[in-house]
Amino acid sequence: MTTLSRRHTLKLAAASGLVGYLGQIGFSQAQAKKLLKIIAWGGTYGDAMRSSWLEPFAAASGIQSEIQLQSSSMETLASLRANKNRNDADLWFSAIAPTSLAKNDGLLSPIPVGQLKNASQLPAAVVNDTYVGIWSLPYGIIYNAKTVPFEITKWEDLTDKRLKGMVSAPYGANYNGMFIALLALLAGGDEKNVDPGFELAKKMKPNFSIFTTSDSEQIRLLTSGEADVVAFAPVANYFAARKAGAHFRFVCAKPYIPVSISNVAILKDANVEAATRFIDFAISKEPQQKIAQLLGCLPINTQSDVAPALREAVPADTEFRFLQEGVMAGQLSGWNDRWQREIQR
Amino acid sequence: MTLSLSFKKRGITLTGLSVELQGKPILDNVDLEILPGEIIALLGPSGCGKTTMLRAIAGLQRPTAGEIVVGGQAMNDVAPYRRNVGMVFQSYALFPHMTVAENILFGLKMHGVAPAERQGILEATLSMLELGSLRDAYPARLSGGQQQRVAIARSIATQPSVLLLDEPLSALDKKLKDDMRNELRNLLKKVGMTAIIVTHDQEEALAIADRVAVMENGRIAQIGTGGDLYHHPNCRFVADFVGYMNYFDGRVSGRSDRSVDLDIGRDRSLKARAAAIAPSQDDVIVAVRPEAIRPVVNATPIDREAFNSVTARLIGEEFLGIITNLRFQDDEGRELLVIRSGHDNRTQLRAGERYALIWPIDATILMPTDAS
Amino acid sequence: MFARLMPYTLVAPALLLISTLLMGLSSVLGWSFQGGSGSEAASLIQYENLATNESYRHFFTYSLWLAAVSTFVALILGFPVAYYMEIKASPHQRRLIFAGLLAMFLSDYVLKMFGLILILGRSGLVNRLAMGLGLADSPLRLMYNEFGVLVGLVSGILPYMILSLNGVIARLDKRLQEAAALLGAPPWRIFLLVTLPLCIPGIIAGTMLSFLLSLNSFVTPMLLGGGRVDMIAVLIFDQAINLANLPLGSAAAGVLFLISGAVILLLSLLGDRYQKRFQR
Repeated sequence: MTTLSRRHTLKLAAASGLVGYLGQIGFSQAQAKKLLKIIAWGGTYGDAMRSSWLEPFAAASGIQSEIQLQSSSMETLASLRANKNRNDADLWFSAIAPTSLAKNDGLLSPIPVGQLKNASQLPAAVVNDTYVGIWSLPYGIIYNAKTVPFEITKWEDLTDKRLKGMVSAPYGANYNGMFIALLALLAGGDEKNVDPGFELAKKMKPNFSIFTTSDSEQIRLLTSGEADVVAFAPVANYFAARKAGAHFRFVCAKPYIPVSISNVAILKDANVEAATRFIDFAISKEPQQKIAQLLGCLPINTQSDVAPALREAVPADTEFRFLQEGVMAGQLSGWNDRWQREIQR
Repeated sequence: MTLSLSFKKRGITLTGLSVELQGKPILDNVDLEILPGEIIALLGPSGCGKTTMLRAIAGLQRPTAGEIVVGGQAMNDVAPYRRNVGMVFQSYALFPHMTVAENILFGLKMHGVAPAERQGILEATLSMLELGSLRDAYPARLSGGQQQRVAIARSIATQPSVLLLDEPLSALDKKLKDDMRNELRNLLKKVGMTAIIVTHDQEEALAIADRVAVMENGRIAQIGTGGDLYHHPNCRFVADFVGYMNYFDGRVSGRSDRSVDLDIGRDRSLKARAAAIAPSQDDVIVAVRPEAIRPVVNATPIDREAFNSVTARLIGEEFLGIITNLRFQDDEGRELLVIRSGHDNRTQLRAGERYALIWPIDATILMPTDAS
Repeated sequence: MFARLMPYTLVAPALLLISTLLMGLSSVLGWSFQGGSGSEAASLIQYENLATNESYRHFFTYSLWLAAVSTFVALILGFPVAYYMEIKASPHQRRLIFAGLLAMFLSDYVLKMFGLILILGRSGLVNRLAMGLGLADSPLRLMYNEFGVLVGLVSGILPYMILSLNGVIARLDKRLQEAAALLGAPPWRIFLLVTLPLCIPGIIAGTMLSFLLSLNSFVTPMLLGGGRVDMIAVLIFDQAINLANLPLGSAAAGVLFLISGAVILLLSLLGDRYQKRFQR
């Protein structure tokens, strides 16, 4: 092997670095605009989206689309921030907090709301030029009826001493801080004043044994018997756990359960025209009914039917509470630190 | 500070010692008696079992049979670290992470010698082996000779009853080796330690040891002083290993009280002393050392009762300064080597001429044939 | 011409890879100097934040502690294995141990951790054994806590530790131990005074490798920590990915990089100094 002098090596390194850099520019400029690129979740979500939306939409409009996977919408926000002006996707499925933050950073295109024919069938609060709601997920408590010695009915029950070491709670400000905000509301605070929520959480602390970062982890903990109670879970996780056994219960805890709105936004430099047509299709009655059925979520379209399975888990008389996710978005980092410091340790 | 090292002299007795490694006999039923304070050399080619014998005495190799007794105490079941046997390894095995002084002090610390006394012994050992200036050096910075001295110093500092040396000079160059030979013997004699030295170099063995045991295939072929082995080897292996030898295949043709007549073919005969041979044997090897032979002009009258004689032609001459090697060929085609010292070479010998090679009957050696 | 270009052609792929890595690293470092509120001017505010916020500092001190403990445990557990493997084991046993180590190397890290979950879980092997033998009335919490993470870290680094140690032990001159024995040293003193000091280069190498692997560990605290064991990589992930706070996450990565570099520097200096003392 020839020994390279240091000067040679440096030259080579510089040259190959340049090649790598040019390569990256090349990729980003070859944006294929014919195809609609959608950033969305994988697994059951991705499958449901393909069969309810992507495939029927292609059949109806002739516009092909494909999903780029994200493991969380915050992850996508991080990557959008990191690759400023260099994303090649058109649509982004997300939640209110990430889209609010992304808008502040100028990463989104305004949605031409006037062109959405089906927008009138949606609650007015979930349609604006930043995002359009696509479904909503009710959150409650899931527990193992075999191991929990009493029937859980209300959030307050999470402070019960009989649940010592049995409860899994969200990690940091996961679930976009909804659990922290919920506790604040229950304890007399609100989205801007979460101190009472932390006081309440401290009462639950002896019961918390594990802190989870994802839906799949929640499900795994429940079904493997590592956790007996999941303090804050989307109803979809209940359906998944249910497949492993009938002894799991979903509690629409009193006094009310929070509902998160999942949404879609159009990214900067996107094919706005095709993206708008896709959104309009996705929020229409039939596709909404279909995806709600597949995912066990609430359809955003008020004219769509609620799936019977969901009706059973979330009775019609359940009281919902919409959280001000836009207000919460900017505080998540602080909440995250505080939760880790005061509750997790 | 002067502090003499004192040693309790102990003898070593090996009885029926055998070692097998993976079913192969390495040492085969060896008996050996070593007197207190005696230096014994184990001489032999590699693989003859000499190192294994050393390791067995040290306790590093478990015997399959036999007994090892040192100073009257049975050693078979004593762990190496309790045997009080010193060893100088072929590679010296100095601790590379310790200085010369630390290497020497190691054994003293292990033996629980008090610090003040330790220091005294260290100084005495360093000065005895002239290592004073190297006390703080690490082994990797020492020359081969220096390392060897440290290895010896380390092993004698604990005043072991027995010192075992495994090819201690083999890593040195020729000149240094010759110097160290005498130095080593003087040192061992000065401290009066019982020692066994393993070597494959006959000169080394003869120079250092009181007695030499020549080993072959896991057995001791012969043991004796240098003179014994040189003048009265009991087999061809020993004769070859110690110096050079001329051989004739012979057959006993007559015996008298004082001498034996030997037929070596073509009606030629030699004489040897009767004591040199077992009465029952007929086939023998007749041998004579090259420096015992003197070439004389063919017509010289010879006393047949005192000298043997063979006629041979000079075919080569090699002048080596102190000595001259002369190569002869007799009528049977046998080559004979004659060594004469340089100043003794007054007779002008001419290549191609025939001479009478004569040697005293007393210098004629008889050995059993290889087959017997 | 071709012959002259040959070496360049051969090193090009590696250089390309390295330069890509370096670009990623430099862009991470670039992010770490950004202010929080979108200002473009370079600032050290993220580092200041990390240094002053007790919550963040804890991730660093705790990770260092866990890395140190796991490395120490791996050393204590690994040494006898490495020693046995080289000195005492028959060729057959040695092959078996080697195969086991190889399996530990080749199997995916995540897979290994999932395996541990099955063993350490509430209804896992250990708990069933403990309860079956009457050692415990109810399942013990063997994971989703510090203990679980330590077990995970140790099992992750153990093969590296063993192979690093095996390297020096294999090169040990057995005559040195014999010489020590003949100088009157019982086995335990031979080990302490001769074997161990001569293994120090391998101990340093194994310690360096293990410490860095543990310190940078992400999967283990994620899967076995239950959110209760704060390690730096989790902080980076949490900040950069979960909270989309790239500047702070990058700064944490930068500090981790610095600590790792310092550990490498310190331990190699230590190793060099030790060996220079008695080697040419």
